[in-house]
Amino acid sequence: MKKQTPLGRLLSIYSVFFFLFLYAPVILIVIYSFNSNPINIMIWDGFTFDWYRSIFGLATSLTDTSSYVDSTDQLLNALLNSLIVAASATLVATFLGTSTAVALARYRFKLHSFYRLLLFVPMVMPDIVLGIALLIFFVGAGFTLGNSTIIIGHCTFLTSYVFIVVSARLAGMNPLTEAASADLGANEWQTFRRVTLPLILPGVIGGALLSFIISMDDLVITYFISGVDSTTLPVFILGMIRRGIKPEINAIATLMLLFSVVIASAGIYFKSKNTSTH
Amino acid sequence: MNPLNLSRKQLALITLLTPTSLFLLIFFIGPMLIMLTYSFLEPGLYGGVEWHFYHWNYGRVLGWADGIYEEFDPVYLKILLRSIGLSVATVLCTLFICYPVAFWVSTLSAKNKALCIFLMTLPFFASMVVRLYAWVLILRNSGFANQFLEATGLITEPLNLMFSGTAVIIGMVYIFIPFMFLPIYSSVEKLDKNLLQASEDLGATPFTTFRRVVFPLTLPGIVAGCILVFIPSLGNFVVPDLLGGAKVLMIGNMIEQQFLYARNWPFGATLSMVIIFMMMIILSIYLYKSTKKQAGL
Amino acid sequence: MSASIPSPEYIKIRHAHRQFMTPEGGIINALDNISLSIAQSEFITLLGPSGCGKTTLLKIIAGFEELDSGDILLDGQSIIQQPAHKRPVNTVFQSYALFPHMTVGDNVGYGLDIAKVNKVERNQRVAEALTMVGLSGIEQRLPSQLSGGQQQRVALARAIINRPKLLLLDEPLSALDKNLRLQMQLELKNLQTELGICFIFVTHDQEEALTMSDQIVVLNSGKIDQIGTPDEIYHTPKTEFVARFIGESNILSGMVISKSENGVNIDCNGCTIFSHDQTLKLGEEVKLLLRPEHLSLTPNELEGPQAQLTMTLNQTVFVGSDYQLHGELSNGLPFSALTRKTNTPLIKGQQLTLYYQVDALHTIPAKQKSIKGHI
Repeated sequence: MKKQTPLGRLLSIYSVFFFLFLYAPVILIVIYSFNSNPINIMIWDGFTFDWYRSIFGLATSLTDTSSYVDSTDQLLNALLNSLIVAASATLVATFLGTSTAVALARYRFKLHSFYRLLLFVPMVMPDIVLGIALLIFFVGAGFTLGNSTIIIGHCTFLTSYVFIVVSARLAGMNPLTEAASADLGANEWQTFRRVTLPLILPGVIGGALLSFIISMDDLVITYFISGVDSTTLPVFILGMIRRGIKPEINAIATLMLLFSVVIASAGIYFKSKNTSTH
Repeated sequence: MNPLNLSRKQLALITLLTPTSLFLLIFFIGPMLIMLTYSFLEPGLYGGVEWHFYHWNYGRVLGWADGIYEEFDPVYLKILLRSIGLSVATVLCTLFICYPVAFWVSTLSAKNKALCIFLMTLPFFASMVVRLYAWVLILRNSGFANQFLEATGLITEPLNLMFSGTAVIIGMVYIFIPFMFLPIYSSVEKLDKNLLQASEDLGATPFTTFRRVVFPLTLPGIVAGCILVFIPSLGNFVVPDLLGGAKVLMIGNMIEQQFLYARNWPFGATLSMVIIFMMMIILSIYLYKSTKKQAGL
Repeated sequence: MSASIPSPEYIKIRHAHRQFMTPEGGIINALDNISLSIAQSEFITLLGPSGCGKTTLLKIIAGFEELDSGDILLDGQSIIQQPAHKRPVNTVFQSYALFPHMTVGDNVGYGLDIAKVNKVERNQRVAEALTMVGLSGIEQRLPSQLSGGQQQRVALARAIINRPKLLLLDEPLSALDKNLRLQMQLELKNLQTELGICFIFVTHDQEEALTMSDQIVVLNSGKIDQIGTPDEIYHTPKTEFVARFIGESNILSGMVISKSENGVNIDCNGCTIFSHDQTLKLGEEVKLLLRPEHLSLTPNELEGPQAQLTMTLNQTVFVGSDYQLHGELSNGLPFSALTRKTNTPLIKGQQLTLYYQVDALHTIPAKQKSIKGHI
């Protein structure tokens, strides 16, 4: 029965446009990834799966086969690099971030605020600054730029994200459960393994998922510290866009969006499941 | 028990903290200090560096020549100012776009609110380069925007939408919108609706209520959002690279050029330090103000 | 203000009606065609359980909610077309709603700042208002630095500084602890007398309502069940709902089985109760209200004519000055009495003879209907 004021209606319309602005460009890519027009990709010319077949090196019905068939190997290689980097960096960052979060949440010590700051700074540091600092360091210290340097580079800021997520979980936990465990005779390690870890596990998994996604998407830092044959997917796509717009990019972009949506939805699903049982 | 006579608690703490401390010391603090050092070294003739103190890198940012080869040329200063200008424009645009929407979302039912928050966080997960690519498709000469305008008969010749300051601002607004929306939304959500009624009850018009109650109470969210958008905008190089072209360079592009093409690493490090200094100034003001407020003064 | 003759119809609510949609799609009548008149400088309490419509009515008077139909007149003028900020009405909110970013002085002076009162007068009036609520000299503090009781007083000072024609109070004492609440009840009543303006106080706490009010309006599911002085509401409730909601009560249903010159005998499931109410007809169904404090173990504690009934004792509870006796009547219905300490021991399962004042027995017609109120 609530009547909407004119201002309220204006606000609703405005907000609808806002979400349109947020999603229309991305939806445009998805739609046009099925457009069969090879010359002007923004003019609709019929439905096709050709660009998807093309990026996976499959035969297409196109007469012009010059497109990206030869770079399929590079594309798959970039994808593989991205997955290796994201998985390894996530593993290391989750370990580092979780241990630091537990230390800061459960112990009082002098350098407490210093550690908070130390873990806050890499997150707000502009990507390019961190990227070139790492580049100078790796080159100076004699590292060969490749997957290993990218993994190290990603860990410097992913640790902070894991730290934030796990800390939030720890803050919402009743510290008396740990006291109860100690009271029943468990030592620190037993308490951690049997009480603390199971309770913060949703946070740890959430932090790991977040770092995996951020690592997969990272462009700027990777751009500076990747070697010649260690290109990741975002860097590869940046290169493609710089060389010129091709319909295949639409298809790759669509697949990447699909991947992101699936991971994000999974993360949110797990989060809601965990909070509802909490 | 152990040589240093540490308690079990201290041992546990050391075990937990050592890996991260070492890692960040070597791979974060180390590189930052080296970069700071580099910014005071002289660039070598063929890339590389000369290991002695050299302050002209900073002079060059401000336009002073190195005293040997160059005349006074404020080209870098111009780019620096342009970067600040474009970042400020991005901050203002995201602010004006997000502020009303945050209020709208806060009036929705719990279910719709959750949906809107999900829609706002989803772009965080989508690849930045893909999201920017969408705008390349829209803004380029044979792009969607031009075709739409031609189809409606508003224009006959395609407009040059790409490679302009506007295009860069659109791109940055698009990728940084969630950074502005989420802090503002959380402060709007925290706003006690009774306060608005109390203000109205005491005779304030809606505009006065906004000016004296709503705005001051949502200011923390606004400030946090502005900082979260301004800092990454300032150092951005992908957006101007894809949408600004050679005409709209920002500091980020200059840094990239120094490292990948000009091979003047000390000067690139100096430009990075300039970004860090600006970031530090903003963050210290913010932290100073917010701790002062927390102290209740 | 007390010198002028108070208008008996200073505030008139006419056929106020307001519906809400439930999330399931049903319709709830938050206010079901309510009419009410309130005299100037009265302390009125809207009393009822949560969801009875009392807060909705308050918000409509303040202007935060709209009526679907009906009208509200203040001093002869309809106010429902006026936006909240133009109404000469101020509110003390349940959660106080103090502006957290302003000092106490700025909170209290807010209404004067809006009205563009000059600085000197403003500061003077702020100080006066704070003195009135017993909090002088704390203008520079922030609300977060005050205790709950102090915040409550600041909210009060803020609401009265504009000199409203009507002050609305939305359960303002519910967040305070018991002792402070009792103290504030007296202070509020004194403040109302001092200011001479009409207070409309909303509460679900019947004790609070009985303590402070000139008149109590009992609301039940959007309708007015009874309007009356605290005494009337307590002793002669017009509906079973009012009887149950206010005070401890024994309520029995029965039917008039015989009439005599003295009164009537009412049968309640095999237990006969005697009443003086001559208006009752033979065969009429009634509800009987007997307050526990009108019962006694010894006849000489009571005044006037008495009758008696028998109760099997189940439990004795010591409540300080008295004993609460809980048990069941011969027909098995639960019953309770409040008596002084007795010398005879009270044993569980014991048959007790309880005496009651026949005049204190109140009968309520079994058929209930809501009333249109005029105070």
